[in-house]
This record gives sequence, C-alpha cells and structure tokens, in this order.
Amino acid sequence: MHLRRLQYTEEIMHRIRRLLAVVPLAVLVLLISGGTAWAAPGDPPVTLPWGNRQWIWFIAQLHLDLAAFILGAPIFIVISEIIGWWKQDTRFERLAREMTRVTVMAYSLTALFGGFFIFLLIGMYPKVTSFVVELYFPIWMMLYPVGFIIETVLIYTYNYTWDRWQGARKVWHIVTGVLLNIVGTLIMFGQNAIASFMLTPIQDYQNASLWELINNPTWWPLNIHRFIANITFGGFICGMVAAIMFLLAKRDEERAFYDWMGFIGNFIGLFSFAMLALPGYIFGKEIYAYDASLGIYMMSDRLSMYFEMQGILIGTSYLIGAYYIWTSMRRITKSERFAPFMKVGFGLILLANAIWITPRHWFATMNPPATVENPDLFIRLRELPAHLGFLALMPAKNTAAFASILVVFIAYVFYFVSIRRGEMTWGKINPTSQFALIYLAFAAIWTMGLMGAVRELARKYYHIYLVMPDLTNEAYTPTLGFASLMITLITLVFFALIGLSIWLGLRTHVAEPEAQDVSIPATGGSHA
Amino acid sequence: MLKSFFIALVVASAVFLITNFIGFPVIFSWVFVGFVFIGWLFLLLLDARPMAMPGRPLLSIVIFFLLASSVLFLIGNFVPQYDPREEIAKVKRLQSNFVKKELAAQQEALQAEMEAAGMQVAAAQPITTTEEATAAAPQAPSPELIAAGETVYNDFECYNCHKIGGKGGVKRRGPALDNVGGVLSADLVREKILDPTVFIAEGFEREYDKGVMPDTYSVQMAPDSVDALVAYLMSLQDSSVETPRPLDPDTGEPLQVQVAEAAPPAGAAEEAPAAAPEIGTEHMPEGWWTDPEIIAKGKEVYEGVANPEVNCSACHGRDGKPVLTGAADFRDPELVAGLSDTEWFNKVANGVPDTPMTAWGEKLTVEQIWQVIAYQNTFHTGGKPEVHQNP
Repeated sequence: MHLRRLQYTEEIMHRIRRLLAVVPLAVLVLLISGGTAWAAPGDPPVTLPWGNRQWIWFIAQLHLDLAAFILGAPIFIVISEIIGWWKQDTRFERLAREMTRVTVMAYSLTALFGGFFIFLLIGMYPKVTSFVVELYFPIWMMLYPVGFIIETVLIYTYNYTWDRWQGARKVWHIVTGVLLNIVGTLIMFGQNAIASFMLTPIQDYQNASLWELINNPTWWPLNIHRFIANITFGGFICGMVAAIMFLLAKRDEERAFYDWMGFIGNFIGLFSFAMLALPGYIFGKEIYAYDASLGIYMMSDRLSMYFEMQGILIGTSYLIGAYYIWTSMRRITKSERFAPFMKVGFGLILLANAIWITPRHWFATMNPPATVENPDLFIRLRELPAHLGFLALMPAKNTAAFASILVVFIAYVFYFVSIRRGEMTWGKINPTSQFALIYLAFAAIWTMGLMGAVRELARKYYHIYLVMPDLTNEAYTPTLGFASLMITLITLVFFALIGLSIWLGLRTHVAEPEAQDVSIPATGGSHA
Repeated sequence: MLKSFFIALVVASAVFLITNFIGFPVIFSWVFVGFVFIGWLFLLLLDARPMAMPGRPLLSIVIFFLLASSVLFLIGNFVPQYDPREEIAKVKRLQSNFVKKELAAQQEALQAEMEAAGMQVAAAQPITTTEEATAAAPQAPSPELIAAGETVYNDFECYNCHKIGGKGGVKRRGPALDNVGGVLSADLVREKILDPTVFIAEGFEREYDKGVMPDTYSVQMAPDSVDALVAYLMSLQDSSVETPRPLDPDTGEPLQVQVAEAAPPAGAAEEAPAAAPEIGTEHMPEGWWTDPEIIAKGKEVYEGVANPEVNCSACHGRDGKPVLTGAADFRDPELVAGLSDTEWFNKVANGVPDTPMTAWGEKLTVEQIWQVIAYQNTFHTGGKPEVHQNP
C-alpha cells in the first residue's frame, strides 16, 4: 500500500517536473514576443490594486532572491562534486546532487517570476522599459534570452545526466557544471549593467557605445558584490535545506548526513559572508564618488534607518553564526576548554554590533522634521555630541565589522583544533543549531530584500537617475515601516517557494539505493 | 537564572550611568542597556540544556519563521520613521519642477529649430500697463520667492552638504552658507549652482578637486527653481558666521565680487493687484466665455506669457491633456461642467490642498483668473468657445 502510494506520488511529481521543464522555454518565447509589445509613452495602461510599484517590488525581489540562489548554489555544488570525486567522499556527491534537485525546481520558479516581472514592467512602466530596452537591446533582448536557453540546457543536462555520467565520464558532468556557472554569471553581469545604469548612468549616454553603457561606475562593484553575495546566499539556503531535512529525518543516518550538510552549507555561507563587507563598502564608495548627494541620501537622510536594520541583521547573523559553531563544538569531546573564550567572543560581537548600529542621530532624516517646535532640543536629545561623533563614521563601523569577522574566524579555528583532538558524532547536535541555520537563511533573505530596496530607492524620484524622472504618484521613498511589511511578505513567500522546491526536489523523491550505503563517519575527520 | 539576571541588571545600570556621564543622549543609553539584556538572554541560551527534537518539526519551522518575520517587521516599525506626507509633498513639487524643466527645454529646442529654419520667433507680450512695467523692472525678491527658494533648498537636499543656522551636513563637504549673500553676488551664486567648477570656496580645495558638489543641477532644476534658490541664498547675510570667499580655480586668487547691499524684500510691489471693483469672484463677467480677446489673454496667462511665474500648461498641458499625473484634464466635459463658476474661480485663486495646485490668486489678478478660466473652457470643445453652463 505504502509502495503504491509512493509510486503514484512519484508519477505525479514526474509529470510536474516535465511540465516545469517546459515553462522556462515558454517564458522565453513570451519574453521575446512580449518585448515588442510595450505601449507608447503616457499614462500606464494598467494600475493594479495596492499600487504598481508594490507589484514590481514584490515580483522583482522574488525573482532576484530566486536568481541569487540558482546562481550561488551551483558554484558550491560543482565544488562539492569535485571534492567528492577527488576524495571519493560520497557525502559531497550527495550534497551536490540533492542541492541540484532543489536548484532545478527553483530555476523554473526563477523563470516564471522573471517573465512576470517583465510583463509588469511593460504594462505598468512602458516608457522607462522601452527606453532601457532601446539602450540595451543586444543585452536584454538577445544575449539574455540566448544565455537563458543555454543555461536551461546546461542545468537540465547537469541534473539528468548525473547517473549516466559517472566513472570516466564524470569529467563531462563537472565541465557541464562549470559551464553552467560561467553562463549564469555572465547573464547576471548583463542584467547588472541595466540595474547599475539606472542608479549611476554615464552622462553622455545618448552618444555612448554599448560597452560604455554597460561599464558604468557601479557595474563592477555590483558584479563583485552580487557574485560573492550569491555564494553566501546559496550557502545559507543550503544550510536551511539541511536543517529542515534534519528536523524531518526519521533515521540516525539521515540526521548524520544532514547535520554534516548543514555544517558545510553554513561554513560556505559564513566564509563568503565575511568577504562581503568589503565589496559592499566599495559599492557604497562608488555611489558617493558618482554623486555625493546619492550616498548621503542613503546613509544620512531618508534611507539611514534602513541601514540600522542592516546593522541589526548582520550583527545577529554573526552572533547566530557563532552560536552555531558553539553548538557544533558541544558535540566534540574535549572542546569545553574553549567555552570561556567563545563567550568572550560573543561579548565582542555584541559590543561590535552596538557600535555598528549606533547612528549619528535617532531620527530618520538629515534635519529634524519641519513640524518639530524646538529643533535644537530635538537634536540635543537624539544626536551624538561632537566628541562622540566618531562612532557614527565608517572607520568605527569597519572596525566593528572586522571584529565580528575575526571572532567568527577564531571560533572556526577553535572548532578545527577541537576536531583534531577530540571525538565527534555527526547527528548528535542540539536541535537549536538547526533553528540557527534557519535563522541565518531567513536573515540573508530579509537582508537581500532590504538592500535591494535601498539600491532601488537610492535613486530617489527618478526611474533613471538624472535621465528620467519618476512622475507617478508613487515616486516618493516609503517609510521603513512600509518597506518592512513588503520585505517580510517577500521573505515569507520566498520561504514558501523554497519549501516547495525542497518538497518537489527532495521529499517526494524515492531514496536511491546508494543512499542506504552512504557511509557517514560517526566521528569527525579531516573532512569535517 | 535569577543570579544572572541580577548581574545583568547591575551591568545595565552601570552602562546607563557611564554612557550618560560620557555624554550620550538618553536614547543611546537605553539602546546600550537593551544590548546588555540581549547579551544576558544569549548567555542563557548558550548554557541551556539541549532541546528535545520537536514533535511536529514542520509546524515548528513555520512558527519559527513567522516569529522571526514578526520581530523584524516590528523592529522596522519601531525604529524612527519620517513623515511620508512631507516626502510626498516634496516629490510633487519636484515633479512639477521636472515638468517645467522639460517644457523649457522643449521650448528652447523648438525656438532653435524655428530660427534655424528662418522662421520668426514670436516676441514676448509688450508691456502695456504701469503695473506690468513695474513688475518687469529688476527689483528685490519678494518674501514669497525667498520662501520658495528655501523650499527648493530643502527639496534638493542642499542641507546634506551645507549648514545654515548650524543645521545640515555633518561631514565637511561644503561651506556653511549663513553669509553667502554677503560674500557672493547673485550671478556667482547662480553660476556655482549650475556649474560647481566656476570657482573654489576657500578652504575647500580638496572637495573641489574631488568634485564633491554635484554638477547636475543644471539638469535637475527648472529655471524658476534656480531663480528662487538664488533669491533665498542671497537673503542669507549673517556675517557672524564665516562663509569662505571664492577663489579663481586657475590662479587660486580671490575673485573680485560686486556684492549687492541687502535690499528689503519688495513685498508691496509683488502683491497681486487689487481686483477691479466691478468684477466679482462668483461669476464670469458677462460675455467673457466667448469673447475672443478675453480667450486670447487667457491663453497668455495659461502658457506663462503674461506672468512667467504662472504656467498652467506645465501641469495641465498645452492642449489641456495633463502632463503631471493627477492634474485635472480639461478635455473632460464632465469635469468642466461639474463645477460652477465660483468653484472654478476658487480652485485657481486658492489652490487645491495637498496637491501641487497652488493658490494662484497671489500672482494673478481677478481679471486674469477669469481670462484663464475662459481659455481652459475651450479645451473640451475642440477650441470652440462656448458658454459654461453652471450646474
């Protein structure tokens, strides 16, 4: 009975997967045909309930979140496959394979939301869409669809040839994975050109070549920042996938594997997370260099409190990341001697975060609101005095960030030293660690939504900064409260979509026979 | 746990007192106290017994996610916000500015094309009355213009780099402007806004070399916004605050500046002329709806020829089709017929609250208001004058 039910479910899932495989191609066709259908400049032909901007925000951010995952995950999937092949460690092979199944499901969703995004742009913002299409036609309407087709072929080849391309043909499979990453990265670079142009367009854009339009001041900073951020995001989502599977696992062997997988995913996430601060800082500096008023609008005026939220999210991520290492060490014998040092480290992270989130003043604009009766008193009660103003400057924030990174790095050093000297059992970990992994993924999703909003809102009341003003009713910067609502909704929907991808990719998949034989070392070794 | 809470309480009190003593405002101290208690909770978590595996893991995961989402959402609403109504009003003004800028640019381009084609460009309306002659002659800016300039200053966020009255830019990016009217001429101020490379503010050579001041205001600001901003800046003449003198960027020598003496605002000269006693504000004067002369004068008011500070076409379009989202569409017969003469007059004279529709009664005479209403009444009839039927 159970076997029949399983076979029936597998049949349904197989049909759904075939259908989903067609979707990206259908979307591609619609993209190409829809791209010629933009309306003439004027009032938008459509005004949706809840506001046009909110729809674009919602769909675009979901598309970006999904795209970040399908670009970041394959990077460490291929690396994991290579390590597994090189070291003949089936855990890495299984990690790569399972994450690929989730990625393939997410890929279809990315395409769906991408198509939806373009339709909304064409329908609701035809003027700016046609303007950008005209400037970037070869990139957006030609190279992007072609790249999309190639990536579709590569990702489905990579997924469905896993069993066939083993042994001597393994190298083909790995090459396919590498090509997949290259194509995906190039697609991202192409789309980054458009996103960065809208914020920092070159002045003489009418007479510029395509390369000059692409290579605008914030293109490379955005490329680097997004490339590393995708790896971080992929790592944390991998950790969340492992955590969910760990909590749902029924057998000790499963728990052991997913405990290990969560550790690996989290390690990738935290390692690349530590590298993310510098490209983000460079990105901000380039914005300042392009137009100081943009940078100040972001960090000192209307968007300043958005950066408070960023500080809270990053600080808690470091704290919870370090907590995960703490729980990991609790399952290693002879690691207790590091406990006091780790507690000091936690205190340092808290202190660093307190400095990080200390603003110049606790109000959301450069100057006090016009309605305040006594502005001097208002400022005195909420603004740092001159002799403490250094805490609000970037050197203090950078020091705080570096301190947090250093603590996490030292925690990992303690962890690896403990591994060498003690004994560890995978799967025997405090379940709170899995919620820590889920929180890290949650914080990453929320941070992406927040910083995506900041990047878009930084160009103020322009569709394209200084080139095309936004004359709609929604041209104003929303409050952080409203943005929090939008970002929270996006995060919840994204979580549901990833949950769907996990269910379709992993939970409904009949376990392969070899999964029973995966030897998960009961104790830690050099692979930990 | 009680012992650790007590310790946390002592530490929090010490943090509060020390931070206050150092000079942190109270709100900062409370935030640091919050961190102490977060640290206390975290220490409890570190030493807590391992939790049991959740009996319903899927539900636990969903609840955890919802909880984390709710906390972030609440924090996002608890952190200081700004008033979106201020922001919306500011953006509406800026949108009006952008439309005017675009129209001015189109007008210039059209004139250039006409001249290139050998066509004669229409001259400005000749001055016919004493009042208009007075208005055309150079005079000190009105309080309204200065106030408008202050609005432009805030809307374009000049305060982000410059201080006035001690308020504004934190990091040293631009000079304080408290005495800019006493140090520079109006022409120099205008040139600096439109082209920051025109001179160096003494002491800000590094910022000049880095090009910190945006050179995009010539693109962003409509001509009347620039005029208003110049008027506002020139009104700033507080000699107790040091505003640096301008230096020649080539030689580094101070520029010779002809500084105008502070002139009292010409408030009286800018007041709207008194309404002609025989023309009321409730009904269109007899025969004006279809009088071609009145409609022609109304067109001049509508297009900013009669008074450059009033240009209805900037928002409502030259043909009545609005160019600013939300502006009334005069081609709509129902809209036009739906209001009485009095209501139309009041809308023009007193404006529409919470919209960019200003109270033009301060800049137009009663006659001019009726003239422009007579002209806009032709949009929904394809240009054919007809009597407006009061509802």
